[in-house]
Amino acid sequence: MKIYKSTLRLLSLIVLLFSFVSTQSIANEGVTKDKIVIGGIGALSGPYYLYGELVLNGAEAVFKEAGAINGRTIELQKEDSMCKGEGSIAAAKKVIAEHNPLMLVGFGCSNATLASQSIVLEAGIPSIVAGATNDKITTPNNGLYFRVVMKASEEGAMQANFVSTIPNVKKVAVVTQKDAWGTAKWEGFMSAAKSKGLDVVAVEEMTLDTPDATAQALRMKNANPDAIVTILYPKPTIVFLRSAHQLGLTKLPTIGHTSVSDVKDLAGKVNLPGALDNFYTISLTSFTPGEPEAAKTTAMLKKHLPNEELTQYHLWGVAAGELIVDALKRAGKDLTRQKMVDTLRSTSSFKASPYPAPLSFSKTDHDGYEMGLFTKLKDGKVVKIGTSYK
Amino acid sequence: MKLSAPVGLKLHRYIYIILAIFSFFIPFWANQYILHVATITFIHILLAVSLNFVMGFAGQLTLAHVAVYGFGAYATANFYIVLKFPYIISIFCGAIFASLIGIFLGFLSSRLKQFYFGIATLSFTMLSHWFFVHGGDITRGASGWFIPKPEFGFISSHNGIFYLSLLLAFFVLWFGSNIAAGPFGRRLGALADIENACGNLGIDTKKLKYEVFIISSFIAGLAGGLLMGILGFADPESFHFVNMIVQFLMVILGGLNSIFGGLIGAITLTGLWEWVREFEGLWEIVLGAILLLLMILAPYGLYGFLIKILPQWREPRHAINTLNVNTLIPEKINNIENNKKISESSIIIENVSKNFGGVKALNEINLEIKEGEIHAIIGPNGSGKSTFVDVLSGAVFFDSGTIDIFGKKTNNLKSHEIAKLGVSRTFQNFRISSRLNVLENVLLGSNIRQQHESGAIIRSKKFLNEEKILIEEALAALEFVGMIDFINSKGNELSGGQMRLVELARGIMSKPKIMLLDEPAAGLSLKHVETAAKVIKKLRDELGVTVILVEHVLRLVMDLSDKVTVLNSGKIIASGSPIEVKDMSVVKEAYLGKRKNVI
Amino acid sequence: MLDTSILLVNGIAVGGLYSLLAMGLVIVFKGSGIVNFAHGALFTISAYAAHTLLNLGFSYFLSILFAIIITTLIGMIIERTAFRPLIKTADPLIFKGATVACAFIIIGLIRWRFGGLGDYLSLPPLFSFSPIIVGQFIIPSQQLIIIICVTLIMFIFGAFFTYSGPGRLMQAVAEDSEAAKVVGINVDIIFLWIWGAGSCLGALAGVLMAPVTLIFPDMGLIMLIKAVAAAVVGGFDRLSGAVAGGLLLGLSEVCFGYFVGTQYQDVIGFIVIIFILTFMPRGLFGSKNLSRV
Repeated sequence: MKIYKSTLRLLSLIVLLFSFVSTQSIANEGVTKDKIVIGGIGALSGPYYLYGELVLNGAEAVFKEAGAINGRTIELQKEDSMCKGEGSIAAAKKVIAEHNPLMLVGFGCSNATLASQSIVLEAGIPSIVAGATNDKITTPNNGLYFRVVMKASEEGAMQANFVSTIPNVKKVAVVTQKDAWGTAKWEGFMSAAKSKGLDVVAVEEMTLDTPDATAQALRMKNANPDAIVTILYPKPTIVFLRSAHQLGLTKLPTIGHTSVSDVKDLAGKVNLPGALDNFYTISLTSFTPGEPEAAKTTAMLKKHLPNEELTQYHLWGVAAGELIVDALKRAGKDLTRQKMVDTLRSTSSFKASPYPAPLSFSKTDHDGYEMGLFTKLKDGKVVKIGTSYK
Repeated sequence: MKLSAPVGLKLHRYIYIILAIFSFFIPFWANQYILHVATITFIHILLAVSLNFVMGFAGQLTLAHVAVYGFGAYATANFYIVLKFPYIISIFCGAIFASLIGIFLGFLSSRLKQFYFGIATLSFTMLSHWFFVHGGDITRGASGWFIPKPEFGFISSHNGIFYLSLLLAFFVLWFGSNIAAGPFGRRLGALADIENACGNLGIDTKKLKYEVFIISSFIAGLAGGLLMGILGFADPESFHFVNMIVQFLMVILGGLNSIFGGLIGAITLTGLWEWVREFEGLWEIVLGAILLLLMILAPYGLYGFLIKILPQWREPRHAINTLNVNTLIPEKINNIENNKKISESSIIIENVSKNFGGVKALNEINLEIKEGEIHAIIGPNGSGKSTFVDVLSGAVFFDSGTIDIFGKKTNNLKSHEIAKLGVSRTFQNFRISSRLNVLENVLLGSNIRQQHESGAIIRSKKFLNEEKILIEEALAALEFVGMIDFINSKGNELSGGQMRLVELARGIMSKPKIMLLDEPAAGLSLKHVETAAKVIKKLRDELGVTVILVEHVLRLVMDLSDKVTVLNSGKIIASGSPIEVKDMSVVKEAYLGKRKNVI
Repeated sequence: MLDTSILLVNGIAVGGLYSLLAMGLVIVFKGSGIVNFAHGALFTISAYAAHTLLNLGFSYFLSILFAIIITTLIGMIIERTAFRPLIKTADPLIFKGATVACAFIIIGLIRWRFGGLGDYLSLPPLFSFSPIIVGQFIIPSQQLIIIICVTLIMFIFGAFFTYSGPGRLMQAVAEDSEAAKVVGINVDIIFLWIWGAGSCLGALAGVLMAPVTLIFPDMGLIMLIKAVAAAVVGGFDRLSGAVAGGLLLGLSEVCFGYFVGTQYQDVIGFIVIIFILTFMPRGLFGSKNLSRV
């Protein structure tokens, strides 16, 4: 009995202590006299870190470049979502409970983003999505999520639309990744292809780690398509293109995806002459990291994060960062979350440096990015094609 | 002489209660994040304890635990969303479904040994993940599946799941340690270390494997169901092989073969995992370094480290909390009646033959063994002695003929069924479990006599009384063989001779009518041979056991036995009293002729 | 017919890589009785090391040579830090845990150093001669190179273990380290050699594979799982079994992917494994006395 009594006494003491600690609450809505706290959620580890770490680093460089905004500097608190539902929920809960940020930025993986959405919405924190493309994140509009990249259905529609403008093309073969990332895009493409009257003759599957795509390429060849659509990460895209080239499939028009928007880089990695002669891909950005237009951005990134090389993923983060900095400037001195939401909603024709078209939001439409470009490699140079086949 | 036995169970129970009380107050002060981590910790406790049952206790290297967890989760989601069952009922339905997967794993483990089982289960994990991704309407694929927040009446949803997880984790720790501290725990120890002796201890290994996989899978299924509640989102990536590595590390880190170790491992790893978030992208390096360091410093896990410093914290595999050995040892083994009736036959062997790939190991053996005698089987190497013991104990099936044990035909009976007829045996190479201490190893012998095992889970009075009586008998048996000083030693800390004596004590514990001793003097020092001889004599004289003694050391045979049978090339060439046999020319020729110096 | 031949060529190339990795695992397993879960990470290291050295301006051949040497050394370091201090611990599960921890550290370090460089890094192929054209089909040079190299490496290592002095010592220690100790062999050093040899094979697989599939920090895990699977199917304690298991896995993946459906490509190997093990509980060529893992 003695033990129980003393234990209880000890416990009640601990409980008291903790309740005292927890009343010491953190800065009001992430804003103090000289600091603005912004939470960054994304995969910082694992195979999907491209869509997390790199994007957030792009944003971080912009924040550092911006310096003090209305007397306050931006502090980015990164948390690892591991690109998993579980990790994302823990990350969101942690960053909200411990830092009470004004806004959140990042969100690289659709699944992880959707899993933590209810928590973010409950806390009422405006969030900028700079990677995840699943339509459900912003449609129907939940009032807090703003997206600066293209949504999956639009990407799919763009691909389908492009294919339908190629003369004499009716039969399409698709190769896709059946993870959360690929599925969302694949579904978008399939519904658009149906409405465009395209005949999908083969759907092949690869994973991130498939070391050889001979089976996929051969099956496609037997299906005898007029064009090929790839919805794959860069690595499987390269593996696929190599196998396809082996079988002479690269003579057909091949339509790539935003994940491989840097065609020049892709050509170097595929490293087979002629493999990309008929390869078209969507670029979200108006320039690729290797081009002269990227010099300014590269310099900025190098200045703040000397170990980083500029990639397309950084560019999306740069766009998100620029949007946030702009909104913070416009929102003025008294920052609240509601004010940020209102300011973001009033954004119209904001020109983010990497993007070809301006970003616009409204009360009903939280998808700011509406237009991507098709690009192609011609004689070692990236050529902008537009949205239909030429 | 003062002896004490571990009181770990009691100490652990205090900790479980204190933790539960402490946890009960967490929602009063914690923020959402801490509450979330605490709930995940409880889920991890369920996983670590259930994985430890299979991997630590039963020694089955399973890499499919994460798949079971996943099936539990998806089954819960289906019951909850598609069939619209209440959440709590769905969790249990999901767990039952997970146990079905457990049955399949049990099947695999009864076919495959160790590493091959490991790889088969790894393959199963990869297959399951593929199924979760490609499962169509059953799993909603890679895009994930929203799980509506479960309602818990007057408390909020996340608090509800927190308390539910707390309750289940507490139950699993409490009742898990109850069944571990009893015959079930002992049997698992035998399965892990001495699977080839299990049959002779009356343990049906196949059944035991199914049992442990079903229990473990049920708990893992519960964990899966809880995860669905706390996440509100079903995602195949939660059940990828990578998460298996995490579960594996929890068990290794906490300590194999212990419920308490599962608890420590789950808390430590979950805590570390969240703590290394501070390092952002560098967390893998920090976590890896800490884990490596911990493993080098505490290679038996944190629990192993703990009991090295505080041996009384060891989790016992018997139900009695405090043992005062001095008051428990009875003067004599009084529970074993003297059933000596030398005239009747206990074993009748007729025309038994056994071939091994064309070699006749036993050729038309006819033999009658009287009750209560010491019957020695001798013969040169390769004469079929070992096959004889194996055939009698059911370790191998014989090809033709009949064996009657107490009037029951044993053709094609498995070894655990023969053990139930009252046949016990020792082995030429020592078979003592290193997971159990000496007392628990001896208690294994009483496995077939345990009547009230079902009471173990709630520690019923009947069960506790029975355990107490069995422990008294075990102590008496250890006293009988002179090993009472070693009750707390682990199986692998004994010398060969001591192991043999413990095996004898274990044999006595089964209250055998017949005891098969396979070369009991092999590898023993002279002193231990004498002790063994004394014990064998006592077996016959005081306990009236029929002893079949297969032995090389002829002096021992000549001194002890009532009757000697000589085998050569699978045939009986002589049978009679030791003196008669010694003088037979045929025996000298076959056996003694070559090795005159033996006698 | 051309379909089949092209499937075979590519299947063998993929299978050859699995075989190389599986051989490294088997060597370490035979020698020290543990499955090295850091093997996948070693394979990743060699690819990154080759990439870095190449960018530093070393010649291709030197880069690869140094990459292999570096990886071998790291394998030996793992032996000293994660295996040697634990050798007195009987439970093989602890060894597995320790090698998993090593893999964590290595992958973390790679991501820390190279993660900022962007997505997937590429390594140019070993030799770029023009692809061989058979009828209307092209067989790319890299696949042929893999097949040729893998065959060569297998023979070299086979000969090394059978005929050379150090190879025989390793064999002796692998068969019975206690007996080897009695005869006066310095078992301690031999263990180090064994780990070195295993890591060297992993490194070779890494540099051969990098030009085909690109390199990224997490490339090792799936390859490791498949290599373990290949090794087990082959019986896990002999090199020829590992080779056969690897080829079987590679070929079955490519062929089943083609004939049954590409969505099954990544699991077909595992279905085959469960099937083989259920009916042949010791793998295709496994010997009877294999319990220590």
